[in-house]
Amino acid sequence: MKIKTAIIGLTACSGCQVQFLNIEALPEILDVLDITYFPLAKGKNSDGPFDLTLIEGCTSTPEQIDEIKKMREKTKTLVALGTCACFGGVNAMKNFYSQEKIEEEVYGGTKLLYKSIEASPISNHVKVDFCVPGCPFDKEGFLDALKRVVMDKKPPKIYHNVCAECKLNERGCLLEKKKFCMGPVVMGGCSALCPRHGYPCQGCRGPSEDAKVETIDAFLKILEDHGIPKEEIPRKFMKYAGVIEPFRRIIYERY
Amino acid sequence: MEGHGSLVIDIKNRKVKDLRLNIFEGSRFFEPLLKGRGYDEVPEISSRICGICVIAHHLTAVKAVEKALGVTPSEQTIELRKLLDLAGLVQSHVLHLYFLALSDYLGYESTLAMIGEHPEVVKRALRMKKLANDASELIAGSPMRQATPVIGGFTSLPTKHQLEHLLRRMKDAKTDAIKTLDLFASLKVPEFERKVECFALAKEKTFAIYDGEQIASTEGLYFPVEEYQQHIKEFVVPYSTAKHSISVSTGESFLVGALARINVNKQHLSDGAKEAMDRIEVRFPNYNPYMNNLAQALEIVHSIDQIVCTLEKLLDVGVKDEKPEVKVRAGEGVAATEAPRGTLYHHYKINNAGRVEYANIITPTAQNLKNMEEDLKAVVPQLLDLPKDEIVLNLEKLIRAYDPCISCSTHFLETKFV
Ligand code: SF4
Ligand code: SF4
Repeated sequence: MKIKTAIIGLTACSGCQVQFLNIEALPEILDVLDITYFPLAKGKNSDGPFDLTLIEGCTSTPEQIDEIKKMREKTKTLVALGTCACFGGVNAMKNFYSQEKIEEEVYGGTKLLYKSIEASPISNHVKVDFCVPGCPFDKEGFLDALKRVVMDKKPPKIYHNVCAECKLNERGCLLEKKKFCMGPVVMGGCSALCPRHGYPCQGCRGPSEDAKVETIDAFLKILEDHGIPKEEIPRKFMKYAGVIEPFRRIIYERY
Repeated sequence: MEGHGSLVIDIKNRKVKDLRLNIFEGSRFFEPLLKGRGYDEVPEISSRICGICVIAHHLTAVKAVEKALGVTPSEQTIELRKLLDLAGLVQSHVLHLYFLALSDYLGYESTLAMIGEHPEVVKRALRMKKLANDASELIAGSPMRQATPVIGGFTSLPTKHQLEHLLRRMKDAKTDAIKTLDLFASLKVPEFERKVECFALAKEKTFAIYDGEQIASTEGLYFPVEEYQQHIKEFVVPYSTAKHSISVSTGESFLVGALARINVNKQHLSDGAKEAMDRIEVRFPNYNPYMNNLAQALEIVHSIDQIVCTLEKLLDVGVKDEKPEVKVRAGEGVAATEAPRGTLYHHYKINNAGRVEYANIITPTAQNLKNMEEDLKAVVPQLLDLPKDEIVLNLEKLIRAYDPCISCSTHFLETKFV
């Protein structure tokens, strides 16, 4: 029996749904998954029930919260696909600003017929069984999670940070060169994509397993010693996962 | 299930009284969020606007920030960016043509459902997508997350060997590109025409995609990108989280995207694309919006030719080890490029400390949306004798031909007749 699967997109850039279609093994995946709901790519979409639901994006309208609650009732396993769904993603930066002000800036005086609320990770509203972070999610990480779903196993856990993978690349450390690299406090699993290419980690995979307020303090000290302007720090922490602990507390308590 | 978009049509006595594309995608408020950010973060954040046009957003932002800071990239950098941008265009067109538009015409509910009966078509689509993605991965580190293209250049460069390998694969890909064009040329598109003004980036003797500083229109406009606000007026309609636009000189809606580009710049298509165009006997300018799909297929042929040509040029001179250099200063920069869906404008003001003070981004969808409504209004009366599902299918085909950002190109679209 194939796994009845739904793929839905909430507030996001659709990049994770595109990433899904980018998976080289798509034909093999379709041998295992029967995708019965996927409005991005399908004309006929079933009402469920589903064995597996993959959700891209965060919630930022009241309707989306209802939507995923209904989805939760209809599905056995629910996966947050990508950083928006796992941690709010770039969308949640807006929570640190006044909603009225940014709405005014984008839409001027015109009142829209639709309501925008705080952007939140889907786990704020429903139980999430698996989280596949990354902006967009890492394909290998997804396939690993999928195998576990098929075998009814527990989600994989990544214990190391980005630095652990970065060191294997032997390209030298950007933080040591006084660049603001988030690697030490961010969850590994991307093979250090950015630092491997000479670009500092921006934190798109959210906090690492051992990132706690206290351990982050040591990192903040390094940043300050390197002369990184103070206001840069909360901005970087809020970029992809600012509403998630311990990043949220760092932003509010340290700055 | 709640959707992201709906089309409401009000018909009285066979006349369209009112027609609205309601778009209620969760807004993401990028412009205010960019304020206060460092100049170097702008491409990264802006590229998260759209997961299908990641590369176009990234590169347009880079170009605009460089103009604001007065940074002049090297010729090698420009060539590599062109390569990357073309790879992004091919990726997006393949995705759109094969995964969103094709099944409507072949009578399937989706391309995924075609895999049993048309494995060769699906495999071709996946092969082309993979090649385009591999090309952007080589230049940018990843097709979906641009790690290497920064203000001033690249943090990491491909090797000669890698570029040679890519060149061989690109040459082979021409067959797939031609087959794609032939497939789309064989589809019967609804007959319909509505003449509108088309806009596209222009640069002397080239089919401008990344490089170009002027905008040309089929009504004879030709202006520097800096003057975009004098020629394009963006406005908010309460029923759509995506904005609408009109051309200032005509006061009417206008068209951007593959069809508009070919209408404006057809004489600069590659020889291969021109030959193919003659062979399938299509003429441009063409004002049938359903033809946008064919225009995209033609652009794939052109892009593959152009990628081959750019790679040969790069290999000829050899890739030099250059490091991006940037001196921060205050300034303002406007840049436009041709994203897969049409002209994309990014406009930033940066202060002495290298921080963003002002950001304005005009996406192709915001430019096309009003035109899409106008086309729908014009086509509805022509369809009224058809059964309701067919009317809806024809309208969906039209919307999907435009290739708007996801909210309306997905099958969420619900059509209501009132
Ligand atoms: S996680 Fe990143 S790539 Fe995925 S939908 Fe969100 S912004 Fe797009
Ligand atoms: S470059 Fe960044 S990710 Fe790599 S070791 Fe240094 S701090 Fe860690």
